[in-house]
Amino acid sequence: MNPADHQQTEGGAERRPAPLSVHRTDLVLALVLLGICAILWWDTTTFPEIPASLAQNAPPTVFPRLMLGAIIIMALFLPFEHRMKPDGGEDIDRGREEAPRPIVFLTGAVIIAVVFLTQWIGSLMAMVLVTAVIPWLWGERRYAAMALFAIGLPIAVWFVFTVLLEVNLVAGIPGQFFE
Amino acid sequence: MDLDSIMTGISLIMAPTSLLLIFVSVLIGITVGALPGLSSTMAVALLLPFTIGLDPVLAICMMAALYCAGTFGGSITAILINTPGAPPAVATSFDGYPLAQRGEAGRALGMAAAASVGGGLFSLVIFIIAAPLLAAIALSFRPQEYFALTLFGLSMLAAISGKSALRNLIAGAFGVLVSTVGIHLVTGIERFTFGMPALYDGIDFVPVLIGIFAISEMLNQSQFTKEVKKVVRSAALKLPSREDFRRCRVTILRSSVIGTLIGILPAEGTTVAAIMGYNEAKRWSKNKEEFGKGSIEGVAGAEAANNAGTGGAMVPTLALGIPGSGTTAIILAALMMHGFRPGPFLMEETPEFMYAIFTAMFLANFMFLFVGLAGVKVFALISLIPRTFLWPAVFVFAMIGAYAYRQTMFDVWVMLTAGVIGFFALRHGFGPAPFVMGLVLGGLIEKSWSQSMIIFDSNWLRFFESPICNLFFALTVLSLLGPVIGGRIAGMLQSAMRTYFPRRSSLEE
Repeated sequence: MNPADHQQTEGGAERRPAPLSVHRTDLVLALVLLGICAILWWDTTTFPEIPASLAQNAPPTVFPRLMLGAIIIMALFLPFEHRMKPDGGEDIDRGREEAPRPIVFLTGAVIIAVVFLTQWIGSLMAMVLVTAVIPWLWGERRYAAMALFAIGLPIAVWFVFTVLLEVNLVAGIPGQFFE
Repeated sequence: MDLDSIMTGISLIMAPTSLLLIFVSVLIGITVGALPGLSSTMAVALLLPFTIGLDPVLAICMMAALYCAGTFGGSITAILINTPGAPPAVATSFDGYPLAQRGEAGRALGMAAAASVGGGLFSLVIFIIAAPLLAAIALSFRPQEYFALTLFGLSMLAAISGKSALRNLIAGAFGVLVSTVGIHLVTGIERFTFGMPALYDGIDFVPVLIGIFAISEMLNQSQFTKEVKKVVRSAALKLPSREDFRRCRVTILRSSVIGTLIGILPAEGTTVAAIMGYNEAKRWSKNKEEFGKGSIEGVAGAEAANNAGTGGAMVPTLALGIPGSGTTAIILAALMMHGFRPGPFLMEETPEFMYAIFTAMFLANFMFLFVGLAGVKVFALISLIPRTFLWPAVFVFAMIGAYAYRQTMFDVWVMLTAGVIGFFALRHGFGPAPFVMGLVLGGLIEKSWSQSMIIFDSNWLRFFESPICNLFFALTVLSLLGPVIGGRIAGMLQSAMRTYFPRRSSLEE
């Protein structure tokens, strides 16, 4: 929030939001929510028309629109919510003062890539890849422990699911050789 | 009580395999509870796919046992490293850690375990009495009353612990909205499928639960890999004395009542119960000055309340089909996954099921007492597992678990999407528990609403003809306005206190 949006109380002990202040981050958040709601509301207009006899007083559009309406109304309050908080919304801002660190996006990219590759490399190799790459990405450099972890855990999980629970994990291209 | 059902319920659990699996669940529960960042909610979500091939009763019993043990497990790290393994153990760290620093870790851990068992057993007695009574009342509920009840359950999200009531409600409403994806039951029309055949059956609970609890937390934890934790060394684990127990017995009883009542309230969780239990222990204590510096009553008050919350939360979950907490929302999802119909009919059709869960939770309480105390040093060491190995392992379980349920990669993508959205939502104060409750209750609320509209011929004013509906609507309004009114009153009182007492008032503290 912009510091200028705050004003001091008489004792100067507490910072309260100015009467008409808008929380900028929450304003953006509210706009994102309203945008999502607008898209979903538009989607409800594309639901096929059905005769009243089939709808039986419960048309498929009504309930989702009720929910969307409720979200829209609540989202409109979001930019002003900090004014209703005794601490001026400090607890809402806690944890989001700084942007997520690059490691979050790197980790996200790795897990998305691994899931994308699973159909070709198979579940077992995907597990090996994750357990090898993510510890290294997060700064782990004890290579012996890493190797043990990257081999031991995937094999144990694969054994539990395929042998004990009889789940057909994705075989991928390597699995075709064993077939 | 039907003696046959009780005996059948107990016999379902007393088989050696069942006992072993419940013991394993207790071990997993304590371990997960002790690991900072991993919550029992996440563990229950990850356990779901493992229970696919199991007997449904045993599967639910395992989850219930894990829930009890996980709630206790959080106290181990709260006491030894001042890092609550799970949110309900926050209040335990206030006095548990100072006790551990004084070399009295064993005393704190022993009291935490004993108080947890006390609270857990008390809430189970209430559970076994209240759940059938509540279910018997709920049997007379018609769709309109169910709608009003579910609406009340969702409105309680406003009061659930978190940063903001408004954000909890928005998250809950989004959860309900997500539950509408797929084919509409009344008309057979596709909704929000965007032409994707995989969405015709709707978005399944399991991958969403796993993603929102496990993946979002993994992304969050990736930022804290450099943090190092140290366990407080304790040369000898000296357990609490008889005098300690004598001093804490009233506190344990009081907190057990508080925890059970808070747990029974829909959507309220064990975290709120623990904090209230701690506050009340302090309020009634003769040694208030010890609180925050290592009071054994503080540990007992918080732990009895948070474990009492587990049994309390099972009451509305099983009797009404309305979850009492985030974890019980997952247990409710598991019930549906295993083909049960949660609510009063579950009690009427399969009463032995409730007694089986009771027995499992009863056993779990004693198991974690012995396992927790005997293996406290081991569990403390577990908390030192580096994040660099812990979280990739969680991802592996999450990925395979999401896939295993329906054996489709689509569910893995749903899990990832839920995790990524969950991470950003959590940063902005939208908690995962309200979303999950909305998702789980969404189907029920729409079904009861549609049935009511059919009965009422679209005249919604007829909801007000039912006294039960009016009661729940009034409670809904109260719970929605509660945080606003409560906040205003507290604010006014604080201003008045500040005017007359310029130094920091005890009310602010």
